[in-house]
Amino acid sequence: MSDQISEVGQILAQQLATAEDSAAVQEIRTEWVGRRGRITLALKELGKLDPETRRTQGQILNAAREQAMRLINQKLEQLGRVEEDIQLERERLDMTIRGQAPRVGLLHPLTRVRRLLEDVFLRMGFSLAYGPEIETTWYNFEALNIPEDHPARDMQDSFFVDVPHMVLRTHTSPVQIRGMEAAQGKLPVKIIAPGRVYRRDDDATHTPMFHQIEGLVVDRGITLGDLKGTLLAMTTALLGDSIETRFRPSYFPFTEPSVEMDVTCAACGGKGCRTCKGTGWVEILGSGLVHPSVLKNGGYDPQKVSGFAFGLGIERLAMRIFGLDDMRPLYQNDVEFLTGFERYTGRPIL
Amino acid sequence: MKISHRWLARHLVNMPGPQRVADALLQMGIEISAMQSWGDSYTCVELVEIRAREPHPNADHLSVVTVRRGDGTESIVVTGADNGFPGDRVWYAPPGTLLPDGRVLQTVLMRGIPSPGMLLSASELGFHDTTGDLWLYHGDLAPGSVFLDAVGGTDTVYELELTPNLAVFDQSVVGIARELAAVLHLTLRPLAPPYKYGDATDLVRVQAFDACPLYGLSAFDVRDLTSSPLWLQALLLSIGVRVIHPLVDITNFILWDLGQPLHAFDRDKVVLPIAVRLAKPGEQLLMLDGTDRSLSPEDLVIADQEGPIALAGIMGGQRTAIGPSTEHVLVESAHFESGRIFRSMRRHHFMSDAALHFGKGTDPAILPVAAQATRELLESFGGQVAIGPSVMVGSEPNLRKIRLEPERIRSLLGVDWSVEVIEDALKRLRFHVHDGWVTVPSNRHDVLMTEDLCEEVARVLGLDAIPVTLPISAATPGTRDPRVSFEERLRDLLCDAGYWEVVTRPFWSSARSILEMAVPGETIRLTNPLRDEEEELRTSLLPHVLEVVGYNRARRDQPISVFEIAPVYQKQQGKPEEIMQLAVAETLEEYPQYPKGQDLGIYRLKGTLEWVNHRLNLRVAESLDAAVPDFMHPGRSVALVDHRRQVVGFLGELRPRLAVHFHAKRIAVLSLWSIGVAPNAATGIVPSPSRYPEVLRDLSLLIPENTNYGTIAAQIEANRPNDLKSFRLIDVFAGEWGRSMTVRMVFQSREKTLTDSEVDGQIGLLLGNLAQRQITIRER
Repeated sequence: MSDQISEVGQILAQQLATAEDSAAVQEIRTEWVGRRGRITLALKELGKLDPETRRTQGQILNAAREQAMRLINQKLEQLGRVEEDIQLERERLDMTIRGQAPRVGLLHPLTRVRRLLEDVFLRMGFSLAYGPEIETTWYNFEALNIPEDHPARDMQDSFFVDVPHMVLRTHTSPVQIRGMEAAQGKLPVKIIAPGRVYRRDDDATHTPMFHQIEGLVVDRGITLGDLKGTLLAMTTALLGDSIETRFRPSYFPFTEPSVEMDVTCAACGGKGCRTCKGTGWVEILGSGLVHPSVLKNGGYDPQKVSGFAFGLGIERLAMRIFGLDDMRPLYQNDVEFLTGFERYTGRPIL
Repeated sequence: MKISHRWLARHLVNMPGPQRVADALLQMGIEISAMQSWGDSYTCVELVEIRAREPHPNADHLSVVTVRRGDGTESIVVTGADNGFPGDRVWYAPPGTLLPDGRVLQTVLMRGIPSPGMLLSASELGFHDTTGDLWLYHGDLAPGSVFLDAVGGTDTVYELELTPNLAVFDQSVVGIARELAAVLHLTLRPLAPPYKYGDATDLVRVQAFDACPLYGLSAFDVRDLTSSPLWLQALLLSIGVRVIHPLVDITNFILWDLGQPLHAFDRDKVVLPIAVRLAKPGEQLLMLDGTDRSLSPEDLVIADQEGPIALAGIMGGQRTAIGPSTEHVLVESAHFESGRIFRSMRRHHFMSDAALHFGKGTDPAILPVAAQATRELLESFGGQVAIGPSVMVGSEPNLRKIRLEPERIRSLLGVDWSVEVIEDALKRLRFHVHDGWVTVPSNRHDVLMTEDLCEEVARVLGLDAIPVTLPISAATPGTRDPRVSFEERLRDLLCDAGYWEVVTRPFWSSARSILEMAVPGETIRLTNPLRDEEEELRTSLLPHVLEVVGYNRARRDQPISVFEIAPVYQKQQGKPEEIMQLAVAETLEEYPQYPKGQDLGIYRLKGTLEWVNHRLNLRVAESLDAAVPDFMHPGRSVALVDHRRQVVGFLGELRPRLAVHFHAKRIAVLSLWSIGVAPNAATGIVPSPSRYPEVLRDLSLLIPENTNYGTIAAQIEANRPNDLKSFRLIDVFAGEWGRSMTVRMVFQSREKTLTDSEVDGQIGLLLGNLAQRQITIRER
């Protein structure tokens, strides 16, 4: 019995060995195990035999068929691999060609830096507040302790509009008053107010429209030390632990005492260069304790509460973070320039 | 403000070096923007003695002079000066010397004779020149000495930046010296004693005491004053003040030394008595600078019997100006109310050093000191000086007193400093502390209340001494504004969809307009624009975004997709309004690029809007009923309406002839007004996926003329089969028989596996309904 099987196996193996492609193998399959194949026909003949012979002959034929199928499939698989390789070789692509970038846009760097700041202060428990850009002179000046002939009005060259007693706000500080009014005497008042502001200046480091972020905290027992702590926490979050800071007395009509904060010049690392006028420091923000008149104008009693406020220029900070020396390209919106901000900056939120 | 180190040293015992000065001033809130050395070029200029003088053989007006230098050698120099004879000592600048006017001297051939360097006049050294000839030296220095020794050595000049509050009392050398003394524990040298004014009450009538609380006038007779001493000239020159005439030099010196502006009148030209009064309407004054000013009763003037002779605190008039021959002088030393001077200065758009001092505030107590200093300087100049009549009218204002609240100072600063420490800090700044009250020095008009004292204490002790703390407040979570958060989400989604955010400035001018836009409100104009093309505030955002497209396209032939979310501005019934808008613009050409991109045309932007609309529940829909602006492609644009069917924008292609203005063939634009009104994105319940298979059917529908996909979709929606999950257009085909659209329909049940006959039944019903609109199944 096994002789007959191995004989079929030998013949088949010889046939398969000469088959060069899967079509030839398919022909062999038809010859042996197809619908009219030799083994198939022999199996169909079994019914004519007596039961005893049918049983033994059936075992032999089935075993032969199984063996034939195995050999054919083995050969097919082997040829299939070769043919796949040939096919895939034909599909070869130049893998050094650059892929197609996903079509996504990018937020403007000023939006990104603004969000970075908002994020830092939200984590410190500040809420976002807003005010109009076309502001009354009362909110923009008088309420902030800047009367008509105050010497400080010559510091801020304002844009006036053809609406009486209205001005394009020169700073986000009017939101201090609006924020206190909105809080209606509740404590603490803890807000930041990002927004567009306007001054009549146009050069490499000044633009007639720019962005500021204002901060205000009013509560019982707020100190100048609290201001220092808050600003240091902010600079660490924005510029890293290694940044050095310095506080200087300054002047703003709506704070008393007033303090400016400098950070190490990014351009020279503190050695002194043209950017920092040789001092090694660049100013990043103005701040101070809220002036008693401003607290009063916001509806708070300066004898019972105190507060601090600060304002910083988002453009200045963006220039610092991205190492820019000219503010104007930020408003030209040259997409090639904006593309330069695609790269990861080391700060996840950006 | 410029200030000289040597000048400062006149007021301070043990003057510290420049770096300590800079550090101390910074602690006091005074920034030094520049620090320069002065006098370096004077080290080359040498005192020489003239040995011989011969006429130049080839020129009538030149002479050949032999000088002996300090090392004993002789040099032969050609000069055009008429003076300088053997025995005279003069200043010689050898080749290589840099003169104050910027010239670098060389050896030049003068009519055939080489002249190494030159012999100098006073003006060539930058000093006051009375003759125009060589500057003869009559002092004690030996030949060979350098000019720098004659002026007292080199100097360091600081350029200070004074904040307005510090300008009230720090615009003088003594002011800065007092700051240094306070922070560095230095001793100040005493100032001159007050001038003993006489009682010549007939000299002055003060009629406006509010504006001029104190007015001093003193007469001097001077003769033979030629020029100011070198030390004084050098100090003035170092801070950039020209030396002109001894009387003028003295007033300038005292202005910068003590912060007290003085004015000198020629007594022979003044018709006494002088009146200090408000100007009369229509009065004119010809000023020293040659301008003619029309005065108003808001101006304070100094007048004589013929009319105004000075605009008080700002500038004198020409009629009574002193000149080189003036011998009888009236020196005014006065105290004016700063606000009035500041307003006058503003009204006349007029600045002078005096006005910058009076306008910020001067020290009434220094007024007689300045008069005495004038006298002492005059007497030291070597001429003849006689003291004439004088008078001071008015009285010094009372000194301000503030209650000392150490606890409040401590709690505002966040420190635990003792009363003694606080008092000592104040005393170092010349405040008097007695019995719980702080008396404010007469020049500190800026100190009004405890908060101001806080600042003074913090300045003297240094901000670094204040401990770093964080506010201890009730823990309140930070909140965002829902409207702004919505705008931020919109920004993010547009970026995700492939559009770049831009930021433009809202200044506009109708002259820049290429698109004709109807605006509901009235345009807001700037009354003081920087330039004509920025004279108004934008009423629409789209033109700015299109300008960005144009700016980029003019630079490179690349596709561009940009958007901005920003306010526009208008007036409604006279009130300004700020309305948030969205504008998107995208070029539509195909570009050679690899791998090849797919140009979807306007459908990319439309798809983005639909996606954003879906994501944010903007509830914006297209409307064929509403008109689109004329600048839009009539066949490829559509108006957008909100859920109340109000038109809120448009989407489509710009007319190609307008796109050309922005250097593009085709531009897709989206303009959405009032985006702030959209409600929060709906959340609701998200359905679980069905466990049963989907059945797909593609229906090719033959559609009548003028029927668009919107009609078909609306019909399918209106007669939606029960188990229809979704449908979408997959093909549009046109033949002789008409036009067909193939819609792929996806059926799926949540309860069972759908059979073919169930789906066929549902489609049959739908086709029945579509047939009523002449939409039939395509047979071929």
